[in-house]
Amino acid sequence: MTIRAKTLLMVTCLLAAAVLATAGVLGWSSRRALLSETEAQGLVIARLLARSAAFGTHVMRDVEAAIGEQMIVEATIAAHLVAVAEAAGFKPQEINRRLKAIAKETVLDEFWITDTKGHAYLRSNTEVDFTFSADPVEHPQAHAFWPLLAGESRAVVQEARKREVDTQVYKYAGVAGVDKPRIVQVGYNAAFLEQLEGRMGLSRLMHYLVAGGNVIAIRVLDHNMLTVDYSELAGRSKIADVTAADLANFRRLVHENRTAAFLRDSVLTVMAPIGDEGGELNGGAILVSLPTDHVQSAIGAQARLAVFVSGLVLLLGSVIALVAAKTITNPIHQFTQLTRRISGGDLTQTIEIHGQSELGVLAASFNEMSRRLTESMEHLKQTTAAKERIESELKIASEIQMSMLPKTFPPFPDHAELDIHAAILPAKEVGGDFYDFFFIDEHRLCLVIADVSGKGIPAALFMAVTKTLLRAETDEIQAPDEVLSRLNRELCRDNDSCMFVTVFCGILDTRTGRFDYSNGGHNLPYRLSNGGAATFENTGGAALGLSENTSYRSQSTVLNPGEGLFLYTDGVTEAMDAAGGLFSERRLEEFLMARRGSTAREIVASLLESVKRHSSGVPQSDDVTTLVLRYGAGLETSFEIRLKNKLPELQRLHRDIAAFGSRHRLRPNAVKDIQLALEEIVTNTISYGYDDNGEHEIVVRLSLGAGEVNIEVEDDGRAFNPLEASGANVELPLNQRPVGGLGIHLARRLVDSLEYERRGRMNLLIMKKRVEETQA
Amino acid sequence: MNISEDRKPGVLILGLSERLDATTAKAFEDKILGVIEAGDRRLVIDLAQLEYVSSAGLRVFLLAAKRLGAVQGKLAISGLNDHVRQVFDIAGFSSILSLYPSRDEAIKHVAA
Repeated sequence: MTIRAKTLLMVTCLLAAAVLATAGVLGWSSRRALLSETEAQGLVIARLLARSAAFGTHVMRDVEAAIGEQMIVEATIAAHLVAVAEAAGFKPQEINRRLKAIAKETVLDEFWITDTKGHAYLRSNTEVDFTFSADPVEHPQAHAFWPLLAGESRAVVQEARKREVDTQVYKYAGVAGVDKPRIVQVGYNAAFLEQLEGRMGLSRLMHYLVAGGNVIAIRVLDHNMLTVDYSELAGRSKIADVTAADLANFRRLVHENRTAAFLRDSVLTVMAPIGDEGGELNGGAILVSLPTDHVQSAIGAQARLAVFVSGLVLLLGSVIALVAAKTITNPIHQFTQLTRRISGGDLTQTIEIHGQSELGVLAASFNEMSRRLTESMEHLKQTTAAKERIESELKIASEIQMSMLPKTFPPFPDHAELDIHAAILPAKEVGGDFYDFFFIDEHRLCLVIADVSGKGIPAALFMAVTKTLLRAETDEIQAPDEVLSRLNRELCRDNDSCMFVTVFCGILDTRTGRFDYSNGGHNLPYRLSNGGAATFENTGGAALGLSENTSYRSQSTVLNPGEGLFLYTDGVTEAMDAAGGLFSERRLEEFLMARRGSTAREIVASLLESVKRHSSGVPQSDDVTTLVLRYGAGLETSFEIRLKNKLPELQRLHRDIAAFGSRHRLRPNAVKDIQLALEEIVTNTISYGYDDNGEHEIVVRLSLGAGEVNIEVEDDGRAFNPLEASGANVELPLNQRPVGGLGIHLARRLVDSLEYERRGRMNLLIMKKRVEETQA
Repeated sequence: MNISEDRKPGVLILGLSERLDATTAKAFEDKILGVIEAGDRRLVIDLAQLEYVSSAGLRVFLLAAKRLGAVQGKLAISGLNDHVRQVFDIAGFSSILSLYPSRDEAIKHVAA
């Protein structure tokens, strides 16, 4: 993600979070305020209702008390009226008729006037015969009037209540008789009281409030939390009922005289307890349920506004953020492009951002870095060029150095008794090791191996000096100790660099095998014989170049034919493997034991191979040099060569016969005769000897006897006796001569004798050729 | 074996060196039959540098002499060393081929 995108995203997220949080807090507090207001309103209503409930009760009580007093008056008048009427001799029927008329014409509904026994013989309603009783169980209502008959009370007023005889609400009042003990009772049908209560009581107020539409429902609970009154707005979905848990909660709140409000299904219900003034409702509560639609719609409007404003702020913020991000990232973008160009190799690029901003400082640093990089590159180019020049010079120096060493093998083809091979593996391009061998007179061969202290150019220069001096010194001297002594004196002269060289020098008389040698601090060579490999006896001299006074001494021994010399430098034994383990003298001796019979070339090649294998993967630390001489190895008087039945094999045959001839100094023409005879025989066998196309072997053996070479050819071709072949007629003129058939003729004529034998499946041809050695 | 080629007026001189044996005779045969085929009729084969010859080589000389004889051409061989001369003698070639000690004599012979 780019920095620009990140900045934009970050700013947008922050803005969105801020706007949403603000809108949320504002919305929530507005809702809270609106709900509080509604709650307060509900509370006012609930408290008003609670007070109204008390007020209604008081008024009704006062009204009923006034009516009660009025009824006492009416009963007293009736008592006097009855006493006068009976004294005047009115019959009960007459009196009842009058009473009935009064009840009919006035609001007074009933008269009940008893005799002394409690029997209501005078009454407005003649259809009912009623006798008062003192028993409260029998007459729960009427017994309250018995004290009037008993003379214990003068007047009794009873509150309006349901009658025992029917369920109508009546209010009764009574007085004692004026003429004799009796009960004079009047009764009102109290329905009007209920109507009055209905007109001015709590219920009416509730209905009025609910009908007004600002209140959804009002519920009145008594002290047992039973609903005593309930009113709700018609045409509205039923609001949730109060639950048992609500009621328990209300009971506690009422007890603590606290109000409460709760919001349920978008309806806010406020509860207020009814206090002492509530009369019979004391300890109860009033629940007022108010609509919160206006709150919801206000919140909705606010939310819409918030969304609109938020969107606007976000849009504006994003645009500003985009511009800001662009302003910040443009230089970075410029940077990126430039660094890309610079990483592509164009170091001339600079960044044009100035000022004290972080980017300005970075640009300055960057330009500085770029400048330094350019300088470094330039420096590196120069260094590399110098290094390449030095390397190329080192390579030339190495070639010059290597050209100073004899590298043509075999070095003395005329000396069949000498098998010499040597190799040097410099650790650096040029090194301090060298070997040399040369004849100091007709028969005596000087052998040298040396190791200059140090490596590289100084060692190489010192080596060149040493080698040049050595050749000069051996011009006139005969013994190796003299060679070392004089070489040492020359090297010590003006040796300011204090370099030194270890040298082993030996002189071999090739006729007798006598070997004189002297050592100047070098690793002692090994003598290779049938018995094994052993070092020569030390002659005790120190390395050359250290002190002019060092004396050297010679030792003498005789090399037997077949024995050899192994000369080496410490680069061989001190070659290290990856773990730091040396090739060691022990490993060298094991190697020489195994290889003591091999040719000089094989010993050198396989030693270098072994050393390389030992130190594979590790940079070579020192020059590895070895010189091997086998004495008299080529003097064997016989050899065998196995040829395949292919014409190109003839070249090998010719080469080996030439080498054999050269080793034994046979006359070249005699060697050619042998080559020719063998070529003719072998060519004949290859061309005509086999019935199949398979591979066959032809064995040729040569051995040098007394004045003659014995030649044997053995093959598994079909039986063929050259002696029986029809001899070619060499007398015929040109045009009659057959082309071919000369080979066997030539072979027979060029050797001195030829015998044929069929041995089993083999042809054996034995030829003899007289030879005499050339004069040396 | 190497074959050198030199032209004098009317004469082609082929010079052989080193060894002419069973392994090299085929190259020489191809060469000499090639030049005869191409129209050369007067040939000198100079063996001054040839060290060795075997019957495989002799066969080519014989073949070349026969081919040239058939087209009235002329062949001369010069500069045989001792060993080569000995082989030619044993094979009876000395009497049927024109051998000359020097190249110039051989050229003179074929040019005549």
